[in-house]
Amino acid sequence: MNLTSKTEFIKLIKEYQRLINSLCNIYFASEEDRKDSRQDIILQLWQAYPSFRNEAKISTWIYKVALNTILSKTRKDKRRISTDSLSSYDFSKIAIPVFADDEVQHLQQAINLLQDLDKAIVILYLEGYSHREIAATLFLTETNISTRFSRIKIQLQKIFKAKQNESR
Amino acid sequence: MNLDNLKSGWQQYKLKNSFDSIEEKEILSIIEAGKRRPAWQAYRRITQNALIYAFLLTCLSGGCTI
Repeated sequence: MNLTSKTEFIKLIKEYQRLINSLCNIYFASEEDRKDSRQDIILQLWQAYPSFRNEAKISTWIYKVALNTILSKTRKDKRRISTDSLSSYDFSKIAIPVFADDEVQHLQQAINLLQDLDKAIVILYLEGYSHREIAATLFLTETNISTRFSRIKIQLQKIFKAKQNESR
Repeated sequence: MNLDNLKSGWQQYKLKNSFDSIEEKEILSIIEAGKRRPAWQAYRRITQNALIYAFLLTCLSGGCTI
């Protein structure tokens, strides 16, 4: 690819860096893993860049490549936060920045306890994507997304209930 | 459970993650290092795999008696 493509690509990554960083930070606990996955995502985006034809929104394309890269990495990676059972989970294990306010803390605690694929579904939902779009992004069926989504809601309800009981 | 309540949290989270800037140098080094392998390497791999496949096929069809 030529210099113009490189310049354009760098500009694109700069523009969407917070999206990439957010995904890496929400999936990986260690700094090393975060950097690794960020590199993987950038490389995958670069390799897929020539075939991107503006048919989809850029952010949708980035989500698709980034989430699928992360999901394939997490399948191999054993060093992540394990999804322990809710009752035995120590909430203090979750890395939360000191400056985090309640809403962000709430979100992180909830998402960190979900399975990897469910995290992706929640993130895409929070970005405003429909079930159909989420299904297309994650290469699943719409029915599968709907079923998982109902389960996620129940699971999150349990998480927040447990958290409330813990804080009493 | 209404997930919409988490939407503003997600927006704030993304905002906080914009502080960790990805440097141009970093992006360039990633894409330079990850360039595709030269064509001759790909051909070599294809040839190797084809030979292994042919050998296995010959053995399994009874053509090679050791």
